[in-house]
Amino acid sequence: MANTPFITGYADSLSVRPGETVQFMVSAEGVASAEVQLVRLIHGDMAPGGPGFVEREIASSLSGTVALTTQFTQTGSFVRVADPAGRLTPAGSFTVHAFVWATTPGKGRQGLVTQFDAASRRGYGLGINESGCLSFWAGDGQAVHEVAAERALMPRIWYFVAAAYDADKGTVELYQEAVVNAYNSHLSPLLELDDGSRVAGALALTPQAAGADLLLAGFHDQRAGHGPVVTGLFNGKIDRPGIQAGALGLAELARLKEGQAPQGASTVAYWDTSAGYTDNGIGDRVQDTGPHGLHGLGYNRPVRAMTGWNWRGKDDCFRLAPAQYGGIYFNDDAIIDCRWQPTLRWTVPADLKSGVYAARLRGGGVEDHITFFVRPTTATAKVAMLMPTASYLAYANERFVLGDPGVVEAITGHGLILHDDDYFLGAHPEFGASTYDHHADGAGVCYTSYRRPIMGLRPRHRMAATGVPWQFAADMSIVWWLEQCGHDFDVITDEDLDREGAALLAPYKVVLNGTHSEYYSERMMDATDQYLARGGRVMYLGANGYYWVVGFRADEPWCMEVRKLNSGSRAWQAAPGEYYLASTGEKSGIWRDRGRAPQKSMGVGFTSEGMDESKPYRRLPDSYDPRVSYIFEGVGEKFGDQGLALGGAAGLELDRYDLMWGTPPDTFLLAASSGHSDNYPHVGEEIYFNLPGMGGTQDFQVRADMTLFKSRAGGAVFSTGSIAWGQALPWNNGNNDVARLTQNVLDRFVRDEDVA
Amino acid sequence: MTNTSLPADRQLLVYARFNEELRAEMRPLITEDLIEEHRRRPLGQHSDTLMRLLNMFRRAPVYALYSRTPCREFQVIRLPVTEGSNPTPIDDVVYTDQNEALHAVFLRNLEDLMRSGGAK
Repeated sequence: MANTPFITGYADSLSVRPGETVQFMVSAEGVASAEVQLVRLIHGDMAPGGPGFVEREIASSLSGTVALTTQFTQTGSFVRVADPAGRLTPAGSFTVHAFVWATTPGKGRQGLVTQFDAASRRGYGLGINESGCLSFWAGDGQAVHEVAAERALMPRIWYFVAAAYDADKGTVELYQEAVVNAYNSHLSPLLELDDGSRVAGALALTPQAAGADLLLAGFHDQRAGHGPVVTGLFNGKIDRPGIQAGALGLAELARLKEGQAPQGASTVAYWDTSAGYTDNGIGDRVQDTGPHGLHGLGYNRPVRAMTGWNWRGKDDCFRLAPAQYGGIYFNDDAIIDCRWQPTLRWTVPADLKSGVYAARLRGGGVEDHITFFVRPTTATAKVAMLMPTASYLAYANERFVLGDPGVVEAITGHGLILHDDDYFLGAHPEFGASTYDHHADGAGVCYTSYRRPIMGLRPRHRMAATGVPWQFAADMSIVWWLEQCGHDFDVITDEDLDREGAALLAPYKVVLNGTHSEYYSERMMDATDQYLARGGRVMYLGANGYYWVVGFRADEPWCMEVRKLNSGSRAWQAAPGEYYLASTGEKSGIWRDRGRAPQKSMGVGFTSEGMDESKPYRRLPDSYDPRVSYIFEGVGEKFGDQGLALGGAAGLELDRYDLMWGTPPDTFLLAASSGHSDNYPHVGEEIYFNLPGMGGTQDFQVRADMTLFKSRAGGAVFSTGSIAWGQALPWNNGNNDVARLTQNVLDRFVRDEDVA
Repeated sequence: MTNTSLPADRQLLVYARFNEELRAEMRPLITEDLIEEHRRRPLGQHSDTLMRLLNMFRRAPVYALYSRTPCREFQVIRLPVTEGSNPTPIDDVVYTDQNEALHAVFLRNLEDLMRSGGAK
């Protein structure tokens, strides 16, 4: 929806401490200025039966009136090569070449290797034209002419492509030949593909240099009211492009097609896209191994660690066979950082209490909350609330309901309920998608970032799949309960945990995690285990946590990477051979498949999801053990039959105790939910043979388990095994058995004495 | 020789035939009792027949709800929601009860199903 007027924005840092500066990047349409107010966020969910939306205004220097503008977002991933000496448009004859695997050859003109500015009509480009055919075009400042192949490129087939421009003859020879093996392309080499093309044509002008950066996967243009933009964005992979002086003949091209690096003085540039890899990941730099060292730099994170034209299927990781991993994947809708101008810059005051905050902007009859988290300079409480910001990133701007409503509704067993946020996202593709979505060409979204407006970071946001809050807005129900539980608490985030490890948690007696802490880096996993081994205590008030392996670059905490592999509840699946994180070099997928099932750390792990109704728990014999019966003081045999999320405390997603997956042997199995519908099937990663009857009415493994176990040095983990638990806490103003039970556990966990 | 009257993805023909047959099988199972069962409780575990019917609707949803005021106002919309579109409820009826609204979607689906030949 046009949603005009609107105000939206993001904070450049999600987690800040007193004394640190945070910048708010704001864009608006139809609103010239806004009143800014710092607010402490207490609760988001407006469901009947709960406290509703709660915020507290805080006096601060952030308050005031601010002028707003509409800010531009450059989407699309591409590589930029600065060329200050103008070497990349040689004066005479030259040849441009690359390996290419196009996913949307028919989408319109796309740049592969270009130094072209459409606005000034200067420069040249090797790319794909409106007919989906390989094309070489050039401009002299007046006109643009092109020579195109006669056969369209087939999608997802590797080709060697080249254009040899002969300045003396004024001709261009185009060369296109598939380089298909049994592994690298969508189709098999057993087919006779109608794919090759050799075309010679006249270029009735002399190319004039564009005087701009060379680009891989796009070309320059101007946008009215903004200025320079990159357009002609390419979808697919490019591998080892280069530029040679002279119009190369067939024999020389054949050598390049065989994969030989260009030799001799004729090389102007050769970007060895497989160079510069390390065991700990691949950055944005694309190395030019030619004589001038004109290295490229990725914009909006072109995806690295992808299979190249010569991938042979034996090695499944760039670390094993880097030379077969020269593919760089480009997407025209990628967005990592909107790079907006700062609208507000503010230093967190020394006396601001740790918590969840937002810059609230009101103007033109509309309002926006830009959320951020304030952690303490040093720990101020025994209790910490760990906001699962990595998981917020994973779901950031989830467009499931726009892209594939059938999948969503079948999974949830709930009718779809769209809100204005969903329409707003639909009107703003430039704000990007979540790791539950696909790029325009069908590739799964593996990168997500908070340097863009994110609907799910708004406190009142509700998920269209079920109409209930999810992630951040759901976690605010735990925050609301903490605000009135009688214990001081600090707020910390996954970002801090990934950066600082166990030292972040060490000062706290108890750490509470959120409703759905699903995405975990290895540093976060290690930090949690180390904290528990040193006597720390965790209350895991959620489910399907500690599940996906994710990675962050150390210096770019706003951007997270995940690859969804061949098991786990996955919205997409990485292509064969593309299972490893470019950010860290680790194998991604689910932690269970790396030997770290969540049961080993939390006692429970993912067992089912369904989103029609939530159910209560019933106690089990361990709950009457005198060592742990304090947990159930004031709680009946059956509990948790009300809540803001689908009417109960056990629902949405469920975790289960399982000794086979590493639940500690002495774990107390305190209670379990039951009565879930067949819209809660047992999860796929636990199913080796499919058989009927795996839904909640026929499979005992569909349940939420409540567990407690002790770790070393007096540490402990209490788990509820349900996402809906947190949203049951505020029911009836907190006067309910879920809140009572949670209070019993927290009251004991903050004390020095043993928990059992 | 390519037969251009057929879809490039021939599986679409099987999908269409499967849907025809499934919908034909479901039509005789629709009763007043079944509709009442859904009205009383649109979410959760239902009778086997109603579960089968809902599974079919849910895998290819045609309708959804738009909630202008979260938790308080619901209107029926038609899917898919195209990028950049505004909410366009199919009528002026505003439900204040979510279950009533979900049932309205169900009735729309039934109407399509029972229409002569069934909606595809």
